[in-house]
Amino acid sequence: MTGPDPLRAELCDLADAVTPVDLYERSLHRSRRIGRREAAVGTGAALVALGLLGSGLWHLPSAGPAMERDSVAAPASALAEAPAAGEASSIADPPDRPEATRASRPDRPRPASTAPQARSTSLGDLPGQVFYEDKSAERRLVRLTHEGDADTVLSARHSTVGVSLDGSRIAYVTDGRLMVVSTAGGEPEQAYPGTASAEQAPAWSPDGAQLLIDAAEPGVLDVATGRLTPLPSGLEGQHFRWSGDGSTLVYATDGCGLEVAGATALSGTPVPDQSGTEGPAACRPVSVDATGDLVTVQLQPSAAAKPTEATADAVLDTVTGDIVDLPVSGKIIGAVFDANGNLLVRSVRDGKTRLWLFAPDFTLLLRAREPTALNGLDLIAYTR
Amino acid sequence: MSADAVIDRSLYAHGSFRTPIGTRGMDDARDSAYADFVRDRSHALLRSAFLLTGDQHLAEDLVQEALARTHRAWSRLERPSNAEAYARKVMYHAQVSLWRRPKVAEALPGDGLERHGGRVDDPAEAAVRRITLRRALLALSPKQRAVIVLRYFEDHTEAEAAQLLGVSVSTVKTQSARALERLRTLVPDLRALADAQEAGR
Repeated sequence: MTGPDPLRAELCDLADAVTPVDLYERSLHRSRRIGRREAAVGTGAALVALGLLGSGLWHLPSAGPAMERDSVAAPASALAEAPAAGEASSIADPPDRPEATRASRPDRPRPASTAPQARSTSLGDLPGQVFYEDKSAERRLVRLTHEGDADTVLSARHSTVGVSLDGSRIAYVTDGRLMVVSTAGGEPEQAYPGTASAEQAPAWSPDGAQLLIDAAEPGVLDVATGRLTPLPSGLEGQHFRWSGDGSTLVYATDGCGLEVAGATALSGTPVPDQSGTEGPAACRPVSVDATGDLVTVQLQPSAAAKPTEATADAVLDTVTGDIVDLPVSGKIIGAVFDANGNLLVRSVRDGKTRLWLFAPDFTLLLRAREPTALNGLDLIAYTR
Repeated sequence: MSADAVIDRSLYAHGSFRTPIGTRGMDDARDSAYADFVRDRSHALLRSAFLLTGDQHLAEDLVQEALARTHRAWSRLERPSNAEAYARKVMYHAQVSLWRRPKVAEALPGDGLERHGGRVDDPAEAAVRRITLRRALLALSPKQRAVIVLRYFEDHTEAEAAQLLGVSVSTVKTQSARALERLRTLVPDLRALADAQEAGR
């Protein structure tokens, strides 16, 4: 390595690895999307201003009596937490979610403060299927068998992957193509030709008929027909995830905040008060419970730099923004919901890795040592 | 921009790239100027973005965002020649900005590092060196990486780099020194290179 300008030569050499692509249409598409969002923001701001003027709220004393919390607390929080003007569309267009669930939620089950007794300590009693990803050079996907072995179900090179909620199929992105393959084996089939993956791993709908993917912009792909329906422009975000019942989408904004939207809503609403998470909750929601009330997220600071790589380490209430305290010993290194709202948590303590399975009411169904064959892999899915 | 790659115009000549078409809201002249700009400069932008992100897809996303913002600002740009500076500024700000968390990728196995010919006789050695440098770049902070790319890939002066990043010249100097030190640690082969580079500046 000699020469008059060696560092620059090395950088040039490295830059040669990038493949030329046509970005004209993509940039126009994105430009139009930004324009729609800006228009929505302008309209929303105008509506808010008109609303305030019309209601006379603008002349109320700032330190007035506490307002009726049930009716205004959530929107006020949402307004306060909106990190940027770009999210203002959600203010103008209220969320398509039941208002009754927006207040504090003493009715919701929460874990006991101390570690409960597990109903089973045998890994063989685990009713669902657990999937792990080897993010080393091999980049393979494995399934934990009841015998405690790691059964490889995908060895094809891929950048992102999604396992269907019944564990029968895998969607993965390779070289910009979306492929689907059975976990039982067989030849993969191309489901969509042009797919970006960095900000949207393929997410299966609960019935397995659709995939939420990023094809220039996020959209819902009908797997059988190949028809792609773009998400409404008001749903501005990435890393979309379906709730187990299909009623709700949870996703991250560009500013790494969480938003929630009804599956048919035109815009989302920010998860309120994420201050307990030391700022925006997450750059990537990992999995959502049955109804969209709870989501597993990454809180460790290092996750922000590599959101597509980090596993979830906490559960967040999307209604209140609270972090749910899990009665798990050791450090949490993975947490995923299945479609029914069962929560599988992976923890490590003193070099031993354990799996904890909680029912939707946080009854501890199982706590078991994880086989050492899975050391170094990342927990990515728990399915039926 | 002496570091810009020669654009593979054969891709256009053979029709691999779509012919730009007119869009609503832009007159034909502006549409044509924007299309020309994208055609001529997007690969150069992509090369810088690749060094900033370490990933083909992330680089494409970054350049797409920069181009889209440039498209929206097109009518405000006094001269089309300002477009690239604007796009680069958007790109660097997007990558370094606090609001838009840094997005970088881990190296994937065999992800295109050997798609293009290297300058050395031994392709294996060149590939290993690229991987090592790529990992070292990804180990830098986003701002350090941006400074390295601006200073040593795009050949900007410290003042130009500071202006592009919206920071002071002293910040650029500090970040550059720290980044070079880190690169020297992570890529021993670069020690002599960086020393020589610094001595020349």
